[in-house]
Parts: sequence; structure tokens; C-alpha cells
Amino acid sequence: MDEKILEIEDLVVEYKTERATVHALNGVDLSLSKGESLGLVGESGAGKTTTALSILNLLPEASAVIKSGDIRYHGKSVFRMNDKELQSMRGGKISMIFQNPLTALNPVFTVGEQIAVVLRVHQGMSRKAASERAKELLEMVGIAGYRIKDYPHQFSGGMRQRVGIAAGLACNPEVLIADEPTTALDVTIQAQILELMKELQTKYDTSLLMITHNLGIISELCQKVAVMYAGRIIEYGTVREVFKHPMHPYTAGLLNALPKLEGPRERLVAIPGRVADPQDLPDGCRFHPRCEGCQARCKEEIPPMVRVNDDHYVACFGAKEGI
Amino acid sequence: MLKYIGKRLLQTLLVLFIVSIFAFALIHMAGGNPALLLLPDGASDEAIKAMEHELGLDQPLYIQYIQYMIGVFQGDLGMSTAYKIPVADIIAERLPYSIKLTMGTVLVGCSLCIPLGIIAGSNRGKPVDFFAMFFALLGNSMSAVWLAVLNVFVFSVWLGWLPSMGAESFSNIILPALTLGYPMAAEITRVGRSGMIDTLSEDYITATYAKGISRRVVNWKYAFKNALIPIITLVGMSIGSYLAGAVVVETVFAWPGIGQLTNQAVGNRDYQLVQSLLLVSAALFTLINLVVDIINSLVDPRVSLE
Ligand SMILES: Nc1ncnc2c1ncn2[C@@H]1O[C@H](COP(=O)(O)OP(=O)(O)O)[C@@H](O)[C@H]1O
Ligand SMILES: [Mg+2]
Repeated sequence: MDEKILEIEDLVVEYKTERATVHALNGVDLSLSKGESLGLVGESGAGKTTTALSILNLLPEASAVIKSGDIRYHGKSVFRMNDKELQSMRGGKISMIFQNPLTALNPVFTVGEQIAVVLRVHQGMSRKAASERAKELLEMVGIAGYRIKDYPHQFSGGMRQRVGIAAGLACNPEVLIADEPTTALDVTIQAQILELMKELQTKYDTSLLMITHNLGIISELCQKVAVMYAGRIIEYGTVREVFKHPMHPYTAGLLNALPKLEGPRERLVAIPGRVADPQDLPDGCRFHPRCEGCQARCKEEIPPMVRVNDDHYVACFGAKEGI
Repeated sequence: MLKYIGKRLLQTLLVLFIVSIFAFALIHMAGGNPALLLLPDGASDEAIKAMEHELGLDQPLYIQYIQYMIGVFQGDLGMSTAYKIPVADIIAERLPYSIKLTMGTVLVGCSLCIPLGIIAGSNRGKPVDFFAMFFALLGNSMSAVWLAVLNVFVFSVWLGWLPSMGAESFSNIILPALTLGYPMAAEITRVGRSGMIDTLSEDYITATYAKGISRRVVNWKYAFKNALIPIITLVGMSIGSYLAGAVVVETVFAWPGIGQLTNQAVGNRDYQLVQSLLLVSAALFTLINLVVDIINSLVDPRVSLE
């Protein structure tokens, strides 16, 4: 269980645009073990998608700069892999489900082709066999098999999302990165997809990096959770620990903003202030302008990740005192 | 599909009807008496009257128009006043030359420059991209006349490789096709390049890479098809206009196509011919458009023919 498949170490990524430099990732440390499922949460703009793309070494060449850090897959840096190694890793061993179903499918190819190509490339399947299997995969995600000949624009957003999921699952990858895979789905389909992922995990021991806003999904599906804020992981641990005893005020805020079904009705509390702007990050702890427990030190120093216990790590000066 | 084509052909008829009215009106507003052109100088008033009667010019305009249209539907486009033979025969003789020249031009434009645009777009900022952009800029900024003169000077006068006029042999088509084809090639390069750049920044291309597809296959199989869509539209529109007459180039190279014919017909005040040429050009143009739309729908599934 503790064999680390994927290790992200102090990853710093910037996007250079004409107008500004976007500090998307500011030292991300994260690792994923065999068979583990890790939830990655954070508001939009926190750097979740950037992290996911970095793992596949697929950041846009024109704008993204990897300032420092490394990502290792089975000990080998993905940034130093040659084309062949990258191609066999992408889609075959690590596959990714993209966030936006409306833009992630090529409009001029059939959905069948877009699923089957993975099987042809990675499993050496013939055209016919791949297309048969693509049909099965479509049915698995709840779309009628005969529709493999249809084009993306003939499907709803949720269905396109499921096509992407089918392509992601095609090769029973060792690692599945799912970038907010269920946002476009209605609740019943969502449950179905989550069930599918669970099954995949137990059957093939797939490791899962689940990116989502939905804390419910995380508690349902994941063992570990990492909370991201302004391009850093600010709290990490087992879902049970972190959700029960959130140490970082941001995590606590996220959990508070969640309606509870049981217990007395409380008012939902939104986190005050706005998400940190990665073009103009505050000094010190990136969360301090929104933090109620902000101290002088928080405005100057970036809090390091400290161990609370074996199952729980947090990057907050205030948290230590709370222990 | 057949239903769609039928519908479009009906639309084409409607367009042609409107064009025919305009052509007819335009010619008659231009003034001048065709009867005079057919008669020797100093013909008597009676002779003129008789000729006008023979040509139907003494009828009210709408009758003349109706008579003309009845003829058109029977394949009779009237008599050329300058050549004194049926207009339909003249056009039938000239049209194949226009088709040949158009095919040559499209061949020049597409064969080299679709690949050039794709390569440039997928190697943005690299030397090949600068070369392609320079090539495109040059092609876009040279007028047909200047390019024609340049080609004649270099290939006929200076190097002596190619004939500069006529249409007798295959070598005759090269210079006019190059002259017409270069600006088209430049435009294809430009459109192909920017189509490729746009496509490559799409999410679905990143997603294709994420499936472990090689750069070569992503560029030439996947992104290529996306980038081809604007090129097809461009080429289709150009084909229409070349068929309908590349007046300048055909005149310079004495290429006996529709463009040259139009130029001569206007010069000769050959009303019947001009009027029918307008009609035939419009018909060609709309038919080509139909073909382009069909091809487009084959490449781009989002374009439906209904
Ligand atoms: N290609 C890009 N060019 C410039 N900025 C980008 C690009 N992609 C993402 N960003 C910026 O980087 C930050 C992190 O983005 P992202 O990783 O997509 O966040 P998330 O997935 O958590 O919403 C955001 O501020 C976003 O605007
Ligand atoms: Mg995202």
C-alpha cells in the first residue's frame, strides 16, 4: 500500500501571459500510493488542473514555465522522459478525465473513434476489436452502444462527460486523474460513475486522483484528501481525520459551507473575502487576508507544512497552538 | 441528402432568376443600340427599324425579357452581336479553358500550401513558420497584374522556359496558373496556419495528447481535420471566382477562358453575350457553393445539410 507511484515535489509553475505572470503553483508537494484514492479540493483557480496537467507533462508549451520542482512516476521524472516513455505513460498507465466536457472532445471525430484510439495505441487492438470494446465502455457509462458512430455535438454535456470517462477507463490505468468529472452530471448518473470508479479501484487496484469541489464525493470515494489554496497544499491527511478535525481555517471554512443533513440546522457560513489572485499573491500565508485568526507572523512568513499526527498535516501557524 | 440538393437547386434557380433580371436591366440601362452594331455604318433608318424588329428591340422591355428567358430554358442564350454565332456555342467553347485554369490554380494552391500552413502552424515561431508567413505576406501583397508581369519577365523573357501567351500546349497553363495560384496559395497558408494554431490550443488536443498519441499523429490526423474546415471554405469560394472569370490573368496571358471572353464582350458591347455570361457565372458560382457545402458537411459533422 505504501509504494509511492507518483511523487510531486515542490512544484512551482507559472503561466506567462502578455499582461502578467500567473503564479499557478507555488510549491506543491503531494504523493499518491498504489491503490490509494486521493481527493484534491480547492476553489477554482487554486491550481488543481495545472497540477493534473503537470503530472502528464502536458502544460501548454507556449505559456507555462516549470520554475522548479519535479514529478516522479515510479521514481522517474516525467519532465525528463523521452517521447516514447511519455506516450506509453499517457493514456496507458496514467489517464485523465478532463474538466470541461464541452471542449474536451474533438468535434470532428466520432465518440467511438475517440475512445477506440486509446485501445489501439496502448493495447494494440485491431480497429474492429477496439470499436467493439468502445461500445462496451459506452454502455458501461450508461450510453447506448450504437451511438459510437455519433459526434460529440449530438450528446448533452453530461453524456460527453461520460464519453470522456469511458475513454479514461479504457485501458484500466494504474492512475486515474479525474478533473471534476461529475460536475456536469445529474445525481443518479453521478452515483453510477462513482460506483464505477470504486469498482475499478478494487478490481484493478487503480490509484485515483479525484479533483472536485464536492466534499461529499471525497468522503464517499477517497481515503486521503489534500486541500489546495493559491497553488499550495495547505492541509493533507486521511479524509476521516481532516474532515473531522480540520486544522486550517480554510478547510474548516469549506466544511462549514457545506449543508448538513443531520443535526440542528445551522446557518451556512461562506468564507469571507475573495480567492487569492495568482497574478498578485499576498505575502506570507496566502490565506491571511481572509483569515479570522490572522497574526502578525502570517502576513510575512509562509507557514510550512507540519505534522499533526501520522494521518494529518497542515500549513498554518495558528493550527499548532490549537493542538 | 437528395432532398437537400433538390432544395438547394431550387434556391439556385431563384438566385438565377434575380441575377437574370439584374443582368437584363443593367445591359439595357447601359444604352447603345445593338442594331447599329449589326448594321454597316450609315445604314438607313428603315434598315435600323427592320433590324430592331428582327432583334425584338421594338417590343416592350418585359416582353423582351420573357422572350430571352424562354430562350434560356431552351438552351438558347441568344446571338452574339460581335461574333454572329450563338452565345451558347461561344461559352461552351471557352468554359473548358476556365475549368482547366481553375484546376491548375487549385492544384498549385493546395498541393504545397495546405501542408505548408499546417507545418507552420504546428511549429509556431520556428524558421519554417517565418518562411511561411513571409511567403504568405508576399502573396497577399502582390496584385495580379504585377505578378503576371513578373512571371512573364522571369520565366518567358529571362529564362525562356515557358510561353507567355496562348493555350495550345500544357506548358501554356503553367504561368497563368502560377499567377492565379500564388495569392491563393498564400491565403491557404495563412488560413491553414492560423486554423492550426487555434486548433492546437484547444482542450481536445491536450486531451488527445493525454491519450498517448504522438505529435505527428495529433498534427496530421487530428488537428489537420479541424484546420481543414476553413481551408475548404476558402478554396471553394476562390474556385467560384476563378471559374467566373479571372479577367486580368486571362487577358494578360491570352488565355481563352470566360474571364477574357467577358472582357472582350464588354469591349465589343456584345449585350447578349455579356448578359448570358453574367447568368452562366452566377450559375457556376452557386453550383460550386453547393458542392463546397456538401464537402464541408462531410468533413465537419456539425454542419448539417438540413
Ligand atoms: N494556459 C493558461 N494561461 C494562463 N493562465 C492560466 C492557464 N491555465 C490556467 N491559468 C491560471 O492558473 C491558475 C490556476 O488554474 P487552474 O490550474 O486551472 O485552477 P483550477 O483547476 O484549480 O481551477 C488560474 O489563475 C488560471 O487562471
Ligand atoms: Mg480546473
